[in-house]
Amino acid sequence: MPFDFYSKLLQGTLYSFFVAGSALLLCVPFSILVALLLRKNDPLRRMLLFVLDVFIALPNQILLLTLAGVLGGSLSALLLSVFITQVPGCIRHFRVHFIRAYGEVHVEAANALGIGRVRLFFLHVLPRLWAPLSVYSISLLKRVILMEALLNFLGLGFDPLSPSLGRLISEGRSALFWNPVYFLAPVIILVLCLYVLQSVSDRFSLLFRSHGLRYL
Amino acid sequence: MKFLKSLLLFCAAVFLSYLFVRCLLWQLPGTLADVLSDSETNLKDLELLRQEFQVSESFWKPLWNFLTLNWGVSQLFREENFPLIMNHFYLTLRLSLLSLLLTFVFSGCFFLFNQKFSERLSNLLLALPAIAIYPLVVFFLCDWTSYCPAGSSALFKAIFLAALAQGLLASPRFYRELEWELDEIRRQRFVLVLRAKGVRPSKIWSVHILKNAIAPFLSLMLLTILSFFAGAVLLEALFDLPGMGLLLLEAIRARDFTLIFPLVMFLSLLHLSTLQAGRFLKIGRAHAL
Repeated sequence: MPFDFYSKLLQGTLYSFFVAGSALLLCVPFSILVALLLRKNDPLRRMLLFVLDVFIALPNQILLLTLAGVLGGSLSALLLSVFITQVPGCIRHFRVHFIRAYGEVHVEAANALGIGRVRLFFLHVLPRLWAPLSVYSISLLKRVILMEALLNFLGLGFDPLSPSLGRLISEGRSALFWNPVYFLAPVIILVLCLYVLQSVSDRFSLLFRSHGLRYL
Repeated sequence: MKFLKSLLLFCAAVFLSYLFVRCLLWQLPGTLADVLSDSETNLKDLELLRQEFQVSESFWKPLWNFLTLNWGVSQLFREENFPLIMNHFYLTLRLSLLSLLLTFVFSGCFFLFNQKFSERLSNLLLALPAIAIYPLVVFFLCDWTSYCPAGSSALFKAIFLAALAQGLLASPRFYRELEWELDEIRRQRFVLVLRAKGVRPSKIWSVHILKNAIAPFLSLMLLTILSFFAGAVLLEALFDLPGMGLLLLEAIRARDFTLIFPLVMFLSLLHLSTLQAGRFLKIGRAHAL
C-alpha cells in the first residue's frame, strides 16, 4: 500500500476527532448554560422547552443532511449543522440532571443556609454532575464521529481535498474487489474508535457507580 | 381531554417545524451568496434563484409572505412536486415494510439463541456502522455473487437486498428493546400473583404477558419504521434505489430548494405523526397496565 494512504488514514482519524472535539466544545457548555436557565418551570421556559421539543421531534439525520448540504461544504457549516441537531437533546438531558441535583437534600440544605448561587453550583451541584456529563459527552463524541463519517461518505462534508474516514470508505468501495484493504482499513479504524469510546463511556459509568455517584 | 391536548401539541409542533423549515430556507439565498464565489455563472445562478424564490430587496414583502405562509404552501403543493414525492415515497414505504418484516425475523432468531450469546452478538452488531455494512452487503451479494447488480432492472431484488441489510442492522436494537419491555412486564405484580395461584407458565406467557406486550411492540415497530425512513438516504444512495432518500440527496446535491423544502416538510410530518401514534399507544399501554 502506498505511504500516502497511511498518512490519509491518520489525518482522517485526526480530522474526525478534531470535528467531534470542536462540536463537543460548542455543544456542551452552551447546553449546560441553557439547561441551567431552563431549570425552573414557568410559562416562558415551558414555551422554550416546547420549541426544543419540536427540534427533537424533527428527524435528526434528515435535518443534519439537509443543513450540511444546504449550508455548504465548510467546517463551520458542518459544526453548525451538528450543533443545531444535537443541542436540543443535550439541553433536555442536562436539564433533567440539574433538576435532580438541585432537588437533593444537601443542596436544599446548603440553599437554606444561605450559600450564594455560584458557590452552590460549583461546590454542590456540579460535582454531582460529572458522571452524567462525562458519559453523555463521550457518547456525543461518538455520535459526531459517526455523523461526520456519514456526511463525508455521502459527499456532503467539508473540503473535498481534506481526508476523512467517511470519504476514504467511500473511495475504498470502488476498490473493494481488487484491493479490499483500501476499504477495510478505514472501516476498522472507525469501528475501533467507536468501540474504544463506547468502552470508555461504560468504564466511566461503572467507575462513577462504584464511587456512589448516580448516572441516569 | 388527553387526546385533545396531544392533538393540540401535535398541531403546534407541526406548525413550529414548518416555521423552522421556513426560517432555514428563507436564509438560503443569503447563505448561498457567501458560499458561491464571485464568478459570473454563479452570480447568474444566484439571480435565477432569487427570481425563483421571489426574494425582493425590500424587507416587508418577504416578511409578509413568511407570516402568511403564502410561498411555503404553494411550494409544497406544486403540481409537479407532489406526484414525484408520492412515487418515491411508495418505494421507501415498501422498502421500510420489507425491512421491518426482516427485522422481525432476525430478532426472532436472537430469541432462539442462548440469552448471553444473543447479547454478545447484538453488542457486536450494534458496534458496526451502517456505512461499513451496506457497502459490504452490496459487494458480497451484488458484485461478487452477481445475484443482483446494483442499479439493474431487477428492482425487487435490489429492494430485497437493501431490506436485508437494513433488517440485519436494525434487529439487535429491536431485540434489545423488546427483551427489555418483556422483562418489564415479567416483573409486574400480576405475573407474580398468577404464578402464586399456580397458573401454568405457558398460559401466563401466551395469555397475559404477550397480551400486555402488544402495545409496546406496536410502538417499537413504529419507532423502527421511523428510523428506516431516516436511514433511507444512505441505503437508497448505496443500493441505487429511486426512493425518497435518494431524491432528497440528489435535491441537496443539486441545491434544488423547491424540492428540498417539500421533502423535508413531508418527512418531518411523517416523523411527527408516527411519533404521535407511538405516544398514543404508550398512553393506551399505561391505561392497560
